[in-house]
Amino acid sequence: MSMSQIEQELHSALPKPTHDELARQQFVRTFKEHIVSDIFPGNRVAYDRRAKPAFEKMHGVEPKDMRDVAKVMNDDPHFKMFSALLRTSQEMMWSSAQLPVQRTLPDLVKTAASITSPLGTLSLNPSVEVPNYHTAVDIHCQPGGYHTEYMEDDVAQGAIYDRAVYLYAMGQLGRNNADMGDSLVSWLKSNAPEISPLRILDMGCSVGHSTLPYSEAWPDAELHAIDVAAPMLRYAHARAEAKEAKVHFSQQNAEKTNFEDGSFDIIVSHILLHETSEKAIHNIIAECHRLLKPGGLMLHAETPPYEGMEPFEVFLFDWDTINNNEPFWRRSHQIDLNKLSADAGFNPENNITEMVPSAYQMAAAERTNTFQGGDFGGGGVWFIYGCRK
Amino acid sequence: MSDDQIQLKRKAKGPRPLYFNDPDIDRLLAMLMGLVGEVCVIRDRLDTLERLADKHNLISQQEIEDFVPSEEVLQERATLRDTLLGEVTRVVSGDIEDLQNLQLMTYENAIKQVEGDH
Repeated sequence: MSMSQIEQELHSALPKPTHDELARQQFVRTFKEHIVSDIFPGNRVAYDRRAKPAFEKMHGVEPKDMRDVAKVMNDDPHFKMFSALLRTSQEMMWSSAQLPVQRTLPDLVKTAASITSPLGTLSLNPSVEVPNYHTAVDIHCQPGGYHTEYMEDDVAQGAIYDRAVYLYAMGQLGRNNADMGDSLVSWLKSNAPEISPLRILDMGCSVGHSTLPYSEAWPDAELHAIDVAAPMLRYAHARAEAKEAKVHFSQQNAEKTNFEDGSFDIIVSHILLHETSEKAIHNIIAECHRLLKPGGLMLHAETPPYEGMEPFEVFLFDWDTINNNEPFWRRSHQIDLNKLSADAGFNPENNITEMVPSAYQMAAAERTNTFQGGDFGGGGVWFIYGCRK
Repeated sequence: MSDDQIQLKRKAKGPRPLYFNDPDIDRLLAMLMGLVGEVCVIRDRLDTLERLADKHNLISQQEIEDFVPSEEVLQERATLRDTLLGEVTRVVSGDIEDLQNLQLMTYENAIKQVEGDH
């Protein structure tokens, strides 16, 4: 089964692939679709028919948590093949996104650096340290991570990321990979209509996929977006300008920014928290508390916490922790969010934890209803964690 | 690829997880999928050629579909395919050839023979 092949919206900062480079990328997308639609569902069958009975025979009880499930599933031939194929598809995805960038890098850098009369701004700060949760392993297997630079004014990692995210999500984040931003905007408009923000901050923005929807929703607000990685920000700036969006990008760590106390009405992040660490996540929420105006709102889009899921679902959902260079994935899905808010100075009674429908309704009928397992965004909903100051 | 082209890092930092009892199978699977990918790239390119040929009234897609190979063409194609398969499965038939060769000495003996040949 293949999903409809809606393509990414082109813009001047995005590298233009050759015929075969594009074919290689399209292959990865189809390969991923095939894994999700045709191979992933077999894990449930393998578990119900083979692995779970084997566990019950051995221990006399049902598997009680993901560790129990892992004891039998990690050796299951179908799960092993699924995992090996999914990991391979991830590596091929990055490779296919890298090739056009490697071929055209000096031109991409030149294009990004030659913006005339920009609407927004870009401020880089080379003294910002790339935190160890970025450098321990390359996050979600992108060779070189978010931060590696190959030449002066480099944009390579951003250009690769922009395309790879589209392939990764198989188009399910929309033509501009904007679904998470769109979904939060939609939530804010219906759940917090009284906020007409003067200043908005997007933390951990990477190339700004989720940032731009805020510029469309509140064109008069001052929109800031921060990240630790310079090549992402240079590309984000070029991309935003190409799409005529006014965004102020700056190189800062969300744990400790240089913005003033109480200076934002809305602070958002999109799949940032699970890429950090135990210490960093606490610092980030505390920084949100410091930066918000009284009555202001922080919202973080993530995938749902493990709590309440059945052991087998948790086991599958946890795949990325071990298999996709996401070392904080597991722990970040188990954190007590009331305590996290309280530790940061928020009143946990104001906590928001809910599932938000994906704004990308057009593809709703094609959702595979799996989270991860190769279909990030396939659930058709996002989990939001937030709090009002 | 030009010599002055910047080389990006091609391996993500972090050890690659292994799934099979023999790590060589993990590597072979990755190579196999790489090959399937390249086959699809060729298939796409061929598809482009067919569509362009059709568009420019050189060969219509229908003409390709309707093409009935003669027995002579079938024979030529079978020979080409057989050659290809022979190359791909060379290692398998090589093992059998060794088994059949009664004169075959062990490699260690071959070393001893040439070293002692003075």
